[in-house]
Amino acid sequence: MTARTRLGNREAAPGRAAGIVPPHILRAIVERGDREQRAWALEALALSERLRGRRELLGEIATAVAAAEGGKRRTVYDARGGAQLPGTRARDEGDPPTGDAAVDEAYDGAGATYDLYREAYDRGSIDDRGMPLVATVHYRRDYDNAFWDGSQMVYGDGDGKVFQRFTKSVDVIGHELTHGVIQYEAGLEYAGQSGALNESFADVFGSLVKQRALGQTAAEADWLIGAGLFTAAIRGRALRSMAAPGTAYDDPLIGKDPQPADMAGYIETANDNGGVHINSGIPNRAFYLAATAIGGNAWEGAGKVWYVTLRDRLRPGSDFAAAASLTVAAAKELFGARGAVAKAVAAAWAAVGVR
Amino acid sequence: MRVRLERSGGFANVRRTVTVDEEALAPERAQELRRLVDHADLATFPEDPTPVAGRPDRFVYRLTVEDEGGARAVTVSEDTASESMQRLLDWVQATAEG
Repeated sequence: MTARTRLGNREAAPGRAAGIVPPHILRAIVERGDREQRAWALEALALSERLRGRRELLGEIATAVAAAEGGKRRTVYDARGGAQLPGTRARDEGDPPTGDAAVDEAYDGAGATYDLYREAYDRGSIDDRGMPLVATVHYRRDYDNAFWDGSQMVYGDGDGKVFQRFTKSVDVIGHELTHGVIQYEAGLEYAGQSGALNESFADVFGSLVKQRALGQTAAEADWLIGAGLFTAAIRGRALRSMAAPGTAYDDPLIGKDPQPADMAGYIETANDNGGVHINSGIPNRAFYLAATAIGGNAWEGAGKVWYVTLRDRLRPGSDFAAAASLTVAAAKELFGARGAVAKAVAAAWAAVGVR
Repeated sequence: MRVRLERSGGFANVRRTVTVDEEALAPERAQELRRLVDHADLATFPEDPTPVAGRPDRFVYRLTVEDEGGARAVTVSEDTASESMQRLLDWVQATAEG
């Protein structure tokens, strides 16, 4: 379903033509619709069942709603150093902490990410349909990475020389889950500029998960991605800096942070799927500039603009220029055509040389 | 035979290059390397050093093999690497690290 038709459905949902929609279709909407559609279908169903005096059906509906709503459902698995996914079940929703730091961080970070999307953007999990959040920790040995495999998160423990475990930084967890959100929404192709946007949106919402969990305003946040992942032997604060791309680390062993801060430094390369983790510094800084100019909590102003753009506007092949014009347009619609938010967003993209 | 492995991408995108030279290996290890390269079937991977679209945050490898026949370089994505290619990548990294 495209974002456009879904928006259309949302607008159509409060309609009062419920009486003509057969109960089996209403039940399908309860099971598969978004939150607004579900609420509307439920109301219509309850009404029709009441009218017919068939109360036993309400129990059936309640079960369907519970499955569709889902709420927060997290499961963390342990790969025990192997590559088999998902591995052995280590912690389920509602279970007490296990004492394994990677398991507990993966659990808590998934919760913080779920909460940002649910409470700030009214999104029901990764797919907006209550998808359970699955993570695997202790993947392979000395594995210096974390990734979203298309249906779950996967975290390595790091090699202990350069990297510590990848669950240590909550923004990493928010970043990986956001790759899932992107997969269900804009579907940004993972190469070149659309790939760098994919990376940047993952960093943006990863940082917002951290900022919201810590209760920090845009001015208070550190705007770092992966702070705390490096061992003490590495000279660096983090893997990326959204405020000052290119300054996160400078170390004899691993080299210097290669991110450009604006289009003048854009890097053409065949590595890294065409520099997706490098050129993402440009849109990352645009978000930082917009959020700090707007002020307050970044997830409420700039974050809302970026979320709506990701959900409803961007396409798989969108480039930086498209992201700039679409975020400005979204800011105008959400916060007013002459408002400070739209002005801040436009100025931010201009400052990084995207037009 | 010399094998050079350049790793990019991954969440961190910290570039890493390792090299394994057959001459520095014990005879049975050298044989193992040749067998692994043979099984990895380099011909099935793209040679062009152009960006490939992939899965988020997976590693991208540039693998160069030099031998009597010259040098061959291919691009390998972690998420689409065959089992035999993954074995070669793991072996080269483990051997280079000693």
